[in-house]
Amino acid sequence: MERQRLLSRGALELLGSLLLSAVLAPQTLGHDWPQYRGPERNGISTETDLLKEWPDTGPRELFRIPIGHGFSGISVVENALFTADSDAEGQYALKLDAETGSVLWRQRISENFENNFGNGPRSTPTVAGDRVYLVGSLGHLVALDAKTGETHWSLDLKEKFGAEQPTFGFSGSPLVVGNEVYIEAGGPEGNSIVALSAESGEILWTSQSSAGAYNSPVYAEIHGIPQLLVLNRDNLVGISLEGRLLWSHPFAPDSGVKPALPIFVDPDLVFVSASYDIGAMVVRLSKEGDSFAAEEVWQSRVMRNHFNSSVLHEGRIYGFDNSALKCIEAATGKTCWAKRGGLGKGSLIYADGDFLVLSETGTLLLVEATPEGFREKASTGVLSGRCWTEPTLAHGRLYLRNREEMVALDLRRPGSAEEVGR
Amino acid sequence: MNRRLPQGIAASLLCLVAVSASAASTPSIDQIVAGHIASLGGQEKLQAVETLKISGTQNFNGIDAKVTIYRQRPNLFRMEIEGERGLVIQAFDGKSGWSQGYRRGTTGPTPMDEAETQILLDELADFDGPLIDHAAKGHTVEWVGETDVDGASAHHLRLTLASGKKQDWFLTQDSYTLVKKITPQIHSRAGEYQRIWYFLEYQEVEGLRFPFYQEREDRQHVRALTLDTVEIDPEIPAEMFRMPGG
Repeated sequence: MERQRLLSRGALELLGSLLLSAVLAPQTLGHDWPQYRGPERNGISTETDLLKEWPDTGPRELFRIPIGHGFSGISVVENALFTADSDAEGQYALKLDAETGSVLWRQRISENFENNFGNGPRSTPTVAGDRVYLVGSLGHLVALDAKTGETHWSLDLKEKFGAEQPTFGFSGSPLVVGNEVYIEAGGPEGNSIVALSAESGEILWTSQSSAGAYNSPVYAEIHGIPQLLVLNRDNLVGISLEGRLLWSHPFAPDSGVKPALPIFVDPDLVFVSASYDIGAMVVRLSKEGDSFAAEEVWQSRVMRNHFNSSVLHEGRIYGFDNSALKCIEAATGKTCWAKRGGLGKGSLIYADGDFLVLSETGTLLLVEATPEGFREKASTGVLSGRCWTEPTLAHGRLYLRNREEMVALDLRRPGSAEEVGR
Repeated sequence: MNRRLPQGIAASLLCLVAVSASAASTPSIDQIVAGHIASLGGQEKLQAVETLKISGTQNFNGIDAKVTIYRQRPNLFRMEIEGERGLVIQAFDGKSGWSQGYRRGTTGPTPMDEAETQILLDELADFDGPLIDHAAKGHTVEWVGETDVDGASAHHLRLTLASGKKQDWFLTQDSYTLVKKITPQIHSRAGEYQRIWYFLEYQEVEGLRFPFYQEREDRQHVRALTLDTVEIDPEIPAEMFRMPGG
């Protein structure tokens, strides 16, 4: 009888948790790419029916347009692109037509940010409902109307949370879950990670005191508990959506540049990586009652993601160890293969059995997603100069940018649903 | 009747067999060094070369720069990098090192200090590299073991140079080709760190083999050098190595 009651309670808790997850999980529409690193913020696209062979001249170019300086990624919702750029007068959020690249609106966020490595914004817009959320490199977090670009609310992370201006500019991309916006503000005295009302910008809670590390929160459900995974200057942390610290584990303490996002490896591992000679670490999370514990599984210099994050596929981590593209086993850190030379500090996303890899100097490669070796299936020169922005894939179109132009390529296989429906 | 060895003895025998097999398959230091020199074209051919001019393109942070390296036996060295911030030179004239360019915050040539000069000498200036005639140069070499380099097993050698500095070299199992090297460096703010080099895409030029792709990692900074040409025994004016006005 007691056992039956316990089971019932457990089943109810599980059901409650599942329902809560369904309500809270970031919402996506079809093959949109509504935020930094895609629908699940992990560099993975669920699109299929993509070209498996490219013509010698590369996939068909849909448009190529000039764009101002910045490293912001490109978000896509339905037939609109959202990104950010800059000129001498300021930093701007942009909405463009996804088919033609024509500018639909351009909204100024703040004055410009200048830096030796490149001026302008770094953060990628997050589109949720009828709002666009973005952080300028000087720390202005804005909520804009997706249709018109008008500002619903804005706040200054430096003024509101005491954050210091990061050398390379505020770079975190807002995460929206349910009705809340989460961002690594980087402020001291409990103001490092913050939650705001998506509707009004009202501060809901603040947590942690370590300075920021150019990181962005990632949503994960671990042992049934929805949480935010974030890297700050000292630690990798898991924080409940209510702002409670669930667990923490040191990762290269007192190192302030860790922009690569944590990766949740189901069911209980979390992978993190950073450059500056730091390397990578995997922790295993256990839960007893309400308490989480993090235990280090391995740590080594095998993978040092600098600007861009790795991608998890079938138990392996694929990513840039500085300028070598590598495949390593998530559970052990063992190297499966490494491709060194010609790619620089590139970026990659996964789609339809392959990786779309953009080299640091603008060559696009189609690489088979296999631990057996680096297998390049196709490549083409698309951009030049410094290409530090990750590719975006939505509705069969690949969007790439550098500091001067944006390009859209058609990856749809002839006769595919996306192609027929265009 | 079945006879079995006691477990302890069987385990010891297995260990002995494993150790013997390992010892038999591990080449001696001399064999590895000889194999490495052969992988470059052989000592005779290498030591017949008097000068080298190497040209290529260096990519750093996504931006290309033209690189030209001049070398003359026994240790004269000059590297020019022409990038978006102008011309940078690092050189050693056989006695002193000097440099020129934005890194020093000046446009004119400036003498290197002792530590910088020693790093240049240890890393780059020795025309033949430290393994050829290493004992005569006062260097020692030890075999550390087999280790993984980018997913492939490699011989790990540790060189203790006459200067006292240590370098780690990683040579392929089959041909003893150098694929990776770690050398000590000092950063003005971060202090000591390991500079990591990778050598790939070896190509033959007049019977000698050169890595046409080289990478140098200084913490998060990666410089990738792709060679266009290697000229053997070109004429190089002696003043190329001397500091102007020095």
